[in-house]
Amino acid sequence: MKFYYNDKNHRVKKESYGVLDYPIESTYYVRNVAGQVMAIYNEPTSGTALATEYPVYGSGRVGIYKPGSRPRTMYELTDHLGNVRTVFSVDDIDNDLDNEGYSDYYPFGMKMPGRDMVGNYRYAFQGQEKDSETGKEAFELRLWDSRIGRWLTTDPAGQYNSPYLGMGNNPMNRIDPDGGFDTWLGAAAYWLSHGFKGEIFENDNGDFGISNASYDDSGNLVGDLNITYGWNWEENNKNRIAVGGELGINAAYSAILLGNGWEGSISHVSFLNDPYKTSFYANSDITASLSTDVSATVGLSSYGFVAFYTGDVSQATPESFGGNFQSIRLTGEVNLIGGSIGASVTVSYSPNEAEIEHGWYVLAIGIHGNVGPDVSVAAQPVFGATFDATMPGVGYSNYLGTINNPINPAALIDKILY
Amino acid sequence: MYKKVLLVFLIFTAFICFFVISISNGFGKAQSKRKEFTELLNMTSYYYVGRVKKIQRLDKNAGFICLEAISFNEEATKKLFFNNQIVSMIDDRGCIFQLDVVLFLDENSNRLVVEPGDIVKYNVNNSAQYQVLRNKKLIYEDHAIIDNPRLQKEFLKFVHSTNCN
Repeated sequence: MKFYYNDKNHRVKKESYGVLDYPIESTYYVRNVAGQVMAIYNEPTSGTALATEYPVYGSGRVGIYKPGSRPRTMYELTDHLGNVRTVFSVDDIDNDLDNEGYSDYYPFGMKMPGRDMVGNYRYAFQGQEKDSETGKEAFELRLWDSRIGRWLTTDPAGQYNSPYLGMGNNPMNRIDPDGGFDTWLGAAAYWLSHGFKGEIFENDNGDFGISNASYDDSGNLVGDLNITYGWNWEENNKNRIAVGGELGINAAYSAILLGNGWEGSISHVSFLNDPYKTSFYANSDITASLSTDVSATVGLSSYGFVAFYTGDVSQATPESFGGNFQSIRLTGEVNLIGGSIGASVTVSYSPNEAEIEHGWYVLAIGIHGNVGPDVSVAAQPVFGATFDATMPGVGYSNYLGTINNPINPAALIDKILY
Repeated sequence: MYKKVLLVFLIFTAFICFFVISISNGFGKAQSKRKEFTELLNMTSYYYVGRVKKIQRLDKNAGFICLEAISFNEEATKKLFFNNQIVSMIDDRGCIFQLDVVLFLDENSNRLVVEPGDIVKYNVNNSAQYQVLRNKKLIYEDHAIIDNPRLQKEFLKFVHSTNCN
């Protein structure tokens, strides 16, 4: 057998061979722009191509229309995994309703002997096409052997430790739409890392992708027909990421509930688009806080963070990371005699004025130690919590410069990921 | 204790949602502003092609640019106003003043800075694009930046103190 695929990994042709490599027939798959099969043609080696199937779609495939000597529409009834359990047909000639087949399945897709009636409906386990020549389910990217519950070839998405393991060994609850990444998470991550461009859609196989195409008022297709299935981590996404650390001093006071604080810090940032350089920033911000403490403290703080730029990669420069920012921070601490120690989670946003819809999102996790009177007035007197907010125009990060640095976190991440 | 920690985290999560939603709303407003701006460019057919003479870097990737005019739409206004702010202007000496991106990364992630001698095309053929060419090669292209009201005073100061000749 030979299979042929297009650039979207869709099967477009299948060639069957007999003994001594004698070609028997070719099967052609005609698809629309979204990759859905619209018609299937069979061409015997010594004959002309004839249409054998026209899939019928509702929100997904609901059956097929079979032309020929007994033209009829075959409808499938599926379970929660898309397994085709029963097929019935409506005859074109006399409108008769016929049972065309039924089947129960073992968890990994093998049909239960004695509990099936085999017809000539080719879609079975998880609604996938079953090649009669191999007896295997032909998922978009790989063939599945339902007898042993394993793929016949390795995983192009590299999702599990074993490249032959399918559905996370959990076939009662999970499906694999194409033999690659088996959840919608990949598509969502792709959408997120491409600056929220395009729309996530689900095709008839239950597979998720991103489309930037749309129709204008005249019905013409506009925009990029950028359909990407599953996880597709391109260099562009990497270029939007930065990691870094921050060391700061802070001073804060809090009366019951309300307070103010100031923090000055130096941060170093490595951008994955140029991981062997480190950029430095001097930061200052004033916060308004809600607190369970009564305190007046000074202290040291340290943070590690990861940042993501939502706009065009050409704008993800070290300079764009500086400037105005706004943030919110949750701090939890243990109050000791004469001070406190604690940890915090911060989310901040630094808009890029050159690209007003976009900017850097930063997620930081930190620890701190403060000295000074600090008493919690909450029911648990030892533990305190503070919520800080830095409003736009109050926090500022001054870009100091960039140096070469062969060893840094971004370089390590770059080595690990790529 | 457990319930209190949970409560604090729930409140923090609510604040994060509020934070992200308010920023996302800002995106929405910015996008409609950009649409209005594109319509303005279309309506006025304001365009120019100029050679970069001087640059004043600002925060982040933006900067003021002074260009020597090569061609522009003489029928159109010589000042492009948006939200009562001057976004771009061409003076009687044939000098063009503009706020736009002057620092960016090329396809290999190398930092590039717009330099004197580069050619800038602005809204040519109603493209609403800002394009920078160096040695006849396009090195940067993006939608034309919208003026920032915060920078208006500085922009006018730059206009009065800079000469493209």
